[in-house]
Amino acid sequence: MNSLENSTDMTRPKKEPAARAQESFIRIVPPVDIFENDEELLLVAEVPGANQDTIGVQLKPPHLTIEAEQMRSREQGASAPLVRFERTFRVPDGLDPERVEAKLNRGVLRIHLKKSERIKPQRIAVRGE
Amino acid sequence: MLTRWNNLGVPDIDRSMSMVDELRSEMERIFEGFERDAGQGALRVDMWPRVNLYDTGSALVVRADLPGFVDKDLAISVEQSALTLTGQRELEVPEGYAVHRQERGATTSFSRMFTLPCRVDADKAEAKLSHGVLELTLPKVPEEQPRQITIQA
Repeated sequence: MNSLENSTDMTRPKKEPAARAQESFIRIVPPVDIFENDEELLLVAEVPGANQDTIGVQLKPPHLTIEAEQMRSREQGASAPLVRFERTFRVPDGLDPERVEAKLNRGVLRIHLKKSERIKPQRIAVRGE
Repeated sequence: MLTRWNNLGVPDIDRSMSMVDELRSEMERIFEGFERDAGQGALRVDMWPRVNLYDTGSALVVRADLPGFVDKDLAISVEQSALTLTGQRELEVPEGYAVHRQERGATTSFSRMFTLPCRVDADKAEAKLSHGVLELTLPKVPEEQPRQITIQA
């Protein structure tokens, strides 16, 4: 079971701390909106209560992976299951992995995936006769 | 005979059911969120938002996941032991963008009602919203607070 999981499960983080592997967690598939303009793809994901330090956004074409963990509150205590947001998308070619920007506000994560120059729509000048 | 079947049979069924569950969660892990709409494994809209209740002894604490909501989007009321949470938010398409996928739109408004396990003092309730999580603290009425009982010699 383990080897199968390691080879096919794209939604798991590559490096998982050993201690965490034993910990119980609740996995949530965050709802996502996806928008596009000439410059970029914009993904908007809901990760309420996510700790900024645990947010991982990885663009490794053709996949984009979003990961985040919810902060625990005092009342929950350390034994409460960890809430994890995880989602992987197949994204189109031509996005620049070097220029990925993510912003977190009120539990909403906005990821800007810039298109590389070659796939941006080119304006073609039409010459008159 | 029937009793014996139950005694011996049920644990087996339990075991095989738990194996089915295990297999299913394994499958869900593999396919979750991978190139598909928020469906199985995602939060159900009628159970949205995700709400948890904690008992700290002197108070009940309600935590609700409300990403993107601001104070004015929410209404909280307590009547006797009924807690009602309602909310509505506007979701905008950013200007100049084409829409590929809109899953967040399914949850623009909600109303959920809960029966609290004990009486609370609503006048002393406190609510705060941070990082998209609402935390509501409802102190219990004095009669509901835990009491230490001394064992007499």
